[in-house]
Amino acid sequence: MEIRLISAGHGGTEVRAPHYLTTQQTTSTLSTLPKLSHPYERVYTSTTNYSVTSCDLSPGVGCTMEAHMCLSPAPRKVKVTEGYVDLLAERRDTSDLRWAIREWQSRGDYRYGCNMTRKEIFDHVIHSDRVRHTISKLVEEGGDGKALEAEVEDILEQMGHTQELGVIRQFAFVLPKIMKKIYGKVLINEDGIEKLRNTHVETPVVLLPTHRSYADFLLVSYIAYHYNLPLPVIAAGMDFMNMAVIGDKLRGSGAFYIRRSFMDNPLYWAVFQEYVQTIVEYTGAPLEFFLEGTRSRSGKSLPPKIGLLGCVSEIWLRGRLPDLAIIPISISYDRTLEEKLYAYELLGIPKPPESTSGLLKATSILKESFGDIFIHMGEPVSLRSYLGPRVDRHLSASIPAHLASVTRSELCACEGLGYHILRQIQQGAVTSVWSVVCIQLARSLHGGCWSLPLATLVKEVAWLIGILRRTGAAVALEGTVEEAVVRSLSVHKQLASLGEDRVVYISRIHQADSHPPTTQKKLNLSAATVESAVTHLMLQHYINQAIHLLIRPALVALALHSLLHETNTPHTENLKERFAFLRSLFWFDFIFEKEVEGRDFMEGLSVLTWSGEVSVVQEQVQMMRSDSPFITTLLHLLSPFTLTYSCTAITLDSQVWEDNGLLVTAIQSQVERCIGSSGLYSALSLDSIRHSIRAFTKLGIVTRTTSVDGQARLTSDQQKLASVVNILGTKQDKHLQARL
Amino acid sequence: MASSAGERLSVLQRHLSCPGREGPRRGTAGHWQPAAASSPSPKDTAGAPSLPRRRQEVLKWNGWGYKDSKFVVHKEDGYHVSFTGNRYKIGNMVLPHFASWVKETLGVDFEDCQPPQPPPQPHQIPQPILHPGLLEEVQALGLSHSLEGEDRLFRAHGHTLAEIFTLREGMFPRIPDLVVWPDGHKQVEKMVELASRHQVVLIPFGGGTSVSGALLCPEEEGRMIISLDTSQMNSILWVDEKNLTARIEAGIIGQDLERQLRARGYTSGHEPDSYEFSSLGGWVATRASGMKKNIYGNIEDLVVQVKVVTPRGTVERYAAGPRLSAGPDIQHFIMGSEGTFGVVTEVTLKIRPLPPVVRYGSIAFPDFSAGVRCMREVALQRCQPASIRLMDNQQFRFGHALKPPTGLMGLLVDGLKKVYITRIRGFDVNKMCVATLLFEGSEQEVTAQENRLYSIALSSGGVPAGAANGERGYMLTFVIAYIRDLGFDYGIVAESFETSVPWDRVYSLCHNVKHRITSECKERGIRHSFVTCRVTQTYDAGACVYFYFAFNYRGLSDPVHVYEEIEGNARNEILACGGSISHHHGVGKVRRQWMNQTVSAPGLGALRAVKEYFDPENIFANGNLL
Repeated sequence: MEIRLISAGHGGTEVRAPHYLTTQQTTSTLSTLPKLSHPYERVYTSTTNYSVTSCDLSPGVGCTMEAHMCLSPAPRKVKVTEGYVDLLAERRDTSDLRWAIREWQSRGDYRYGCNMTRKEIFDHVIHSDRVRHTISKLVEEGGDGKALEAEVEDILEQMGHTQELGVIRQFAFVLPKIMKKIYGKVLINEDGIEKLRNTHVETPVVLLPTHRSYADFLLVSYIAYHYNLPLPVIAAGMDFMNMAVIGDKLRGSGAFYIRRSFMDNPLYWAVFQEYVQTIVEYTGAPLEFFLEGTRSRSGKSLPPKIGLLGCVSEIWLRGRLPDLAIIPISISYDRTLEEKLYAYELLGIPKPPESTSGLLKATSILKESFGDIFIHMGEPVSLRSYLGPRVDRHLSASIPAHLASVTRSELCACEGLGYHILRQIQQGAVTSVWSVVCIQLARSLHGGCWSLPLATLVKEVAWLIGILRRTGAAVALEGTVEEAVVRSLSVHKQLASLGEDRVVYISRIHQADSHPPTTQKKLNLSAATVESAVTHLMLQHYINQAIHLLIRPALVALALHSLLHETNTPHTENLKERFAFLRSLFWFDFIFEKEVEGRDFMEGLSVLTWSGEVSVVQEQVQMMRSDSPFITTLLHLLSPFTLTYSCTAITLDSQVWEDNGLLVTAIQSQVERCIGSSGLYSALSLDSIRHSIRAFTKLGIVTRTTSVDGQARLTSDQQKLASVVNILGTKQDKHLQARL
Repeated sequence: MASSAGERLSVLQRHLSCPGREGPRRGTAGHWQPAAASSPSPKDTAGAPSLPRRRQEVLKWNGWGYKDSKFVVHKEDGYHVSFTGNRYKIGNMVLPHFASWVKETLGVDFEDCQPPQPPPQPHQIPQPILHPGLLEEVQALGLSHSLEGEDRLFRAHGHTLAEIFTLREGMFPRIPDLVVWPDGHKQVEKMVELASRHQVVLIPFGGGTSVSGALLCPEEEGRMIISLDTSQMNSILWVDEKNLTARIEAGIIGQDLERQLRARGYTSGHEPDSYEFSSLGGWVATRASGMKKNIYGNIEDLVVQVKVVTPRGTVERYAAGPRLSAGPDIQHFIMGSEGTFGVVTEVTLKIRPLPPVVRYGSIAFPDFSAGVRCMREVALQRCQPASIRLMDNQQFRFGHALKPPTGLMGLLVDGLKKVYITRIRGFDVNKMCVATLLFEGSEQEVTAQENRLYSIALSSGGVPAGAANGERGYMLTFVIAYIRDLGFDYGIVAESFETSVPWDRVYSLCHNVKHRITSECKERGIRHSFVTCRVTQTYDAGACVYFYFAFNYRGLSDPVHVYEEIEGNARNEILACGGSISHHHGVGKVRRQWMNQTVSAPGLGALRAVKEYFDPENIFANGNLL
């Protein structure tokens, strides 16, 4: 079973070349912006036979961008990325039981790995230099050696995985049954599977999937079972362990449990590191963990957590293995199981603790439809190739390995690797048509309209898909855009439904009395706000899944927009500077790679110039027209975020804050006050509020000081705050500036 | 000289009780050594040097070793490889397994042979730059010298891959302008004085076996370059049998030194793999290491005194005592100075009585890590025999490919051995590896060593695998250098490099470097490559690891550059895995870039300051090390 995707350039011969520059600009732009064609080429490097339309600069060929963008029919079914295969197709025809009990043998095991039992792994950890050294240091500090050794065993008992094929088989029986019920297709690129298999023979692999849903958890293991890959060992949070039955079953399928925070416990830290490293270095089992650390409620990539990544990298940093292969895995859901829960969580309504009964309650979802899942197994990233040029391994090569902890600069390189992998994950993600639909639905909502005609929606969605396609995005599109929109509306009918009158109605998800009353009491927001906000945040969840595709041009557009207040034709250098500021301001909300600021800028700017709405002549940037549909769309995409960040600035300005949860609530209240008629309810997201505080701190706009009484305080630089508000210049800017 | 009849007799007896030392083909108990002459006459044991002044008459001008010894391919129902000449034990034999091994491992097509260019015509050799008046002064001093192209070209290079490749396919941009052969310390002093006065460059040349680019003339050098060939300074000046030391001129080559000492019942015990051709002065200048260092020590342990002529004057440490506390040892500035400070002219070396018993042995291990564990244990218990070397699986199989044909009995014994090791012991032929052993000493000592060693081997999972395997391992060391020249003809480039590393990192270093090389090859589209390593020396705190690396370069435009890139990355990997810049090959020009990482910037500065003092005008401008 195969499905076709559309993405950049694959229809190069079919799609007319966009004429994105007027004749007289061609030369100058080319000379000033030599990298214009790069972003397109970069995005889909794994495919070979695409031709890039953006390279075609010959004047007079093709139609103008405007014509293309407005008149473009629904994108044709361009044959692009093949090789996605439906895992469930076969399951629908044959017995699940026979599937689960089939003869199973992994292919592609690590050549130098040794089979170790749980006991052997424990012994290896207990007798490791690091653990023994840590114990002896603790004993020196007055600890009890015997007790510490017992503690190590306890930690291991709690942590350690067992991996039994029997348990995997149970899941192999149950999972297809559930998946067949709620999902249409589960699609995966098989070439990625084979690359993974071939790589793993020579070097241990680390599997880094996105984390958007609990459903991610066993998906990779199931894929491994399906394709006879070596079964992964999975790092899981402690909260799962306490779930009755499920906790043990997960352990049996290869999960090991780690505490959420243990940096202050040297013994736990040592045992944890040795445990992880033993698995990777000696058994060579694929290690799976979530780089983002937790499920992303917002749908965007979260900034990487580098604890586990650093721990794994240490194996290579200390020369114990020649290389490690990191496999970015992008899992894209048409519809996220937890969509509603997330919206509430982002508003500040806490999640219930994981429990099996909670899971059972959730079985009601079995009656619903959740569309398709796309799984993209990315190109293996060689740890050595990425980190090699960025670290000096020989400096610590003569210190005994267990004493040479990872240095600050090495951690910094690992962090860079984390961002790099997240970008790979983003680039592998398959964008759902629903994400594009949500962008347009949200625009309508911001204008106060809870309904819009299907025809308008389809036209706008088609237009945007056309653009995304050219930026190299893979958009999952079967049939015409209209068919795809209608199909996605039926999957998401709770959120937006198509009426008989061919008008799309957006639903108010939150009913004042429907949500669990237990959490109602702590709510910071008014009932009316919540009523709208839940819907907004649910839409935003899906918008965010596509936002990485447009963030670079969007930030350039925002930079340009803010500069245009000051001058009519800003210089590219100024634009770049402004872009760089915005990029670091939004660093935690949108994922950028370190070191490639210039490339990001060129990429963003070239998309804008290509759209025909902006031109660059002799280093001067000009808006080409007053009504710029693309730039308007981009600024609109950013508007909830700019509102959040402006409100953060205002709140910080109002008083000296103690570093506790109060600030976050205060900012959220500020946002609520500022929403006004803009309808930007998704600006209430606690996720972005926290990121904004983090970014303000990183940029030195806010400094954290500890006073005599031990209380951490945040002091802010008023001038910088004012300039942030000024640059972000939201629709409410007059209102905001008055307050500053 | 033996001073009494009694002593002389005992020396003679030791000499006689060591059978098979005389010639390469006579080895009765399987003992074997390479030697210069195939039919040794009593005269040979006297002082005549094995190599003539015009070395190119006996040695290849564009490859390794003797002209008469080389691998050749001949075609008769399929291709066969054999080794010519009778200097080595595999000489004049067809090697039945080798051709197919080469085809399989390196993808060699025997139809596609590209022989090297013929020896260059005189006009193809760069014309000498002559400093006015200098030649006359050289003649006035009575110094033997030559301006001939052949002589100058022979001294323009060592034996790195790049140098041999240049000889086969191109020409060096810069070669020495004049060759001089001083006959002793005095003439060297005069020559250095002359060079200083005329501002010309001196590059000392010993055996010419450098594998670090140390002998290459710096391209940008505008002054006249004189190659100072030490080969005519080759006598043993005296032997002190009371203290067991000998004063030797630095130009003597290893095999001549050994032969002459052996005639008197002694050995220096210094046996680097190049010892047939390399010189004493070269060993000192590069901090050489010999195969049997476990008994005799490395060059820094063997040297008692050295005498070096620098532009600042002659440097000597006058005391011959066994150890001194007199500040940093000035001789340690000389050892490893790679010809940048001056010329080594004379050396006092420790000597030892010849061992009565020499025996080989070998141990098979199920895998490399078991082998490394055993080596570590042997070092821990400090019971190393004269030599112990662990070859990895690739090298083990490579050794098998070089096996000469065996008779019926041999086949039978080999078959039984194989059955025992693979079937009964369950070793995997694609994983197992072998350690080769060389024992020296009295009968009791050797037997005791053997017992102790084999019991350690057994406890590490090893199996004693016989003397023949061990002996063949050591022979391969000498002939392996000849294989490269054959490889060139068929599009294979090959090179070796080495390092030293602490024990706990030996295994991971070997694994990582091999992996790194293989993946670097893949990245460059190289389809056939071969990389193998062996642990060749053991110390208290670590080991020396030696790598061989070859690849098929058909389809690549610049194989030397590709090779250098890969070796550079391999060296980076070595350093990152805790290995060193070099164990005994030295730095020369090819490893200079890692000196800073090795000795720190102030350390390097100090070495530069020493150079600046000894040689303020940079007469010894070979550009090595610093």
